Amino acid sequence: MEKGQMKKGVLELCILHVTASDELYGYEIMKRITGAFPEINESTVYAVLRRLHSDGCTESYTGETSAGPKRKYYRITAAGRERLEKMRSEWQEMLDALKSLGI
Amino acid sequence: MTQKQYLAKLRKYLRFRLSNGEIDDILSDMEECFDAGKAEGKSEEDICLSLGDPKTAAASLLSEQTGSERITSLAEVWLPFLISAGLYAVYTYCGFHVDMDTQGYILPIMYVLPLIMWVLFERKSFFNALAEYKCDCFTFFGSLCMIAAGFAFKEIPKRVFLNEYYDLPKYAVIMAVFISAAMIFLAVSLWKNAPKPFSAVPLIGMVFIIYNSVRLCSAYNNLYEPNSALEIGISFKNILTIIFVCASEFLIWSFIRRNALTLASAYSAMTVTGFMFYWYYTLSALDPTDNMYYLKYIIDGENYLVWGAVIASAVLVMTVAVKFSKLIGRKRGG
Repeated sequence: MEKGQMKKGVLELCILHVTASDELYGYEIMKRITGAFPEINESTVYAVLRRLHSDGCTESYTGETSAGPKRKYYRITAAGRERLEKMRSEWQEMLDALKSLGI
Repeated sequence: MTQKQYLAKLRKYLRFRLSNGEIDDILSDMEECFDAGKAEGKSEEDICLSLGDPKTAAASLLSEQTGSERITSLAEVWLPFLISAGLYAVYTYCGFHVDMDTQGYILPIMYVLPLIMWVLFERKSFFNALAEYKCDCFTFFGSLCMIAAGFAFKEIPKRVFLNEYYDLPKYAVIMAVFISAAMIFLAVSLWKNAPKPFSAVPLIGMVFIIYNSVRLCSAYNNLYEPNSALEIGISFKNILTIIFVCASEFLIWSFIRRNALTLASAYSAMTVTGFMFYWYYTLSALDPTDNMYYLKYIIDGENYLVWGAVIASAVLVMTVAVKFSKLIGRKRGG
């Protein structure tokens, strides 16, 4: 797997995980992910989020924040949850394989 | 960089690659990011930095493009429509035309398909489209049906004007059946969200090039037949026209998609066919009755040096483009 693809896979997993645990607006999602991966640009996270959205893994709605302005909130869909579970188990398998090699 | 400058740059890099609706949607999301960042006390400059360079942002967005994002607005077709219409006018004026008596129906097919493609279909690289096309039997059969309908359509006026009424219902039925089948195939392929009908255009072109090449070869083998020289001239001209039309469509498309490699290939093909056409018409003007003479002049003649220069420059352009596209690819990947 190429480094870029691997990163994308991790990003996808993280975005799905974040949207599964909370209903957040785009900027918050981007901030959370880039907080964990500071070397990644927010726009890269946004691009993956947008693709997941167009794949039907997330859905959006317009909601109001405590500060006032309306924001586009994202939440995970059933298809997204399915994908998240699949990705989690794939990553777990990979971690187990690495552990078995003593890495 | 200010918010305004950032958004303007991002729009510039996405322009012609995504539909206007999608670009507006992306920019509105970005504006929301700026608002949220400012509400946290960040400056516009800081927000731009955390979003990353607009060029890289556009590249990320384009690399995440999926088949579900399509161009749906009719307003977006004006540019390719104007270019196509303009090219058609130029070809006709310059004498680039398929022999209308034998294969006149091909031009509408070749001009209408890319327009449909531009309005309805996603924009992907030509090579991806071609690879996917191999798996897409619906578009393939749809295109074959359209060609068959074209043959039948050509026969109908003949039967009417020659008063051969006994054949008319047969050809009308054939045409109706094939057009319906083509529509069904193309509709199914649209519904399946898989096909890239643009690749049907060169495919149709290829079918006609092969057909004309066979005609050309068989006429060459019958040089003493009275009509073979005429046959050779028509077939040769048709081959050139079809290559030229296909190449020009690639040229427009690759320009819009900023695909340097396809652009250079299309340009090279157009240059070579353009030269051949030029010689064909120049020589046929000298002696319009002797098709064999000017064909031999082009193919076997004493123009090896000129042909060598034309082909070498085409190869050079293509090589530079390959290097250039690899460089861009490396930048994007890195």
